Amino acid sequence: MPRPKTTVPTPPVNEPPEELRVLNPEKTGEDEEQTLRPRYLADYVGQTALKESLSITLQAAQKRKESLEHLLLSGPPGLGKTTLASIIAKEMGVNIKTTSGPVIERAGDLAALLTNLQPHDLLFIDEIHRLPRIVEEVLYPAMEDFELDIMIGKGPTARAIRLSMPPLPWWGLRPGLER
Amino acid sequence: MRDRFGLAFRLEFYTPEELTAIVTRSAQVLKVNISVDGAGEIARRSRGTPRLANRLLKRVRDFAEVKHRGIVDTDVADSALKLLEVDQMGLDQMDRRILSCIVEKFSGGPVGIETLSMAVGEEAETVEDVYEPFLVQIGFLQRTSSGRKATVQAYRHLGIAPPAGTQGNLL
Repeated sequence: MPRPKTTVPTPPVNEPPEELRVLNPEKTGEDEEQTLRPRYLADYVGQTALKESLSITLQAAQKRKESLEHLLLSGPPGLGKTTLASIIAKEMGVNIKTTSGPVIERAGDLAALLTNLQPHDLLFIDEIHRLPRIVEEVLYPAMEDFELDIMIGKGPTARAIRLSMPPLPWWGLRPGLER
Repeated sequence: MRDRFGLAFRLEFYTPEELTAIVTRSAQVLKVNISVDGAGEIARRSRGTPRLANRLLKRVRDFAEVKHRGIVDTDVADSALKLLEVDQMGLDQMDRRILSCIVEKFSGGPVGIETLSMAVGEEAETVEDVYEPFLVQIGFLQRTSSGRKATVQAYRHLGIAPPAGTQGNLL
């Protein structure tokens, strides 16, 4: 027997108070970890030689009012590569955009990331060794000439275009790419 | 890839002194009451890695809060780390199992990675990527073309007499 269709008014969903939520957008599991990370180079313990040459590089770049050159940080896990990246951003007084190698699957993803950068932003690519080969090939011209080659569309209508990265302000644009 | 970067820095493992300073700093941030020796104890067992040092510090803090009113000295750190089965060299249970497996079941090696990982009940890839690097680094394990071998240092650490005819006899 077919049941008559009725519309049951849905009761208004009561959102649980902020503190009861399992996922709080304001809070991340890394909060405590974050507080353990030193924020400035002066608070960073160890890696004396690295710290010294990094400090010189940072001061020189600041003096010339230039962005930092592309920078590669390597080493075993847990030694402070990510911490150093955020310290560099802080010391240079720029924004840091963090992403991870395996997340960037296609050249288009990289294009989206790069074109959304503001001048002087620091782009931090964690696990850069796991960046797909094809994306890596697109990244090189972007790093060297600040130009990006991408294909738009498929088949006969496909077009190759060369995107220039955002115009240079008086400081010169250099997203620092790091592992 | 490397030469595309204008600057390249390589991070090295931290000395126990540096790690002690890191643990002390982290303890301040986390408001843990820790003695210098307690921090040193954690530092020595952290394999030169601050991330591990901070992780161990948090576990020791838990232990201290439950059993010792939150104060961490050498003894508290030592018993907490013993409970976590982290030994003097910073080896954990699995590291020791791998070594004793090579020594006891395969007479010191060489033993193939597949056989070894089956014997310890862990994926070959995990053994290779997670456990072996540190063991090789501290000279407890040798990766040879014919398989993995335990070194004399590994025998000593496990408290087992190295077989005759090895370097141990020469010393």
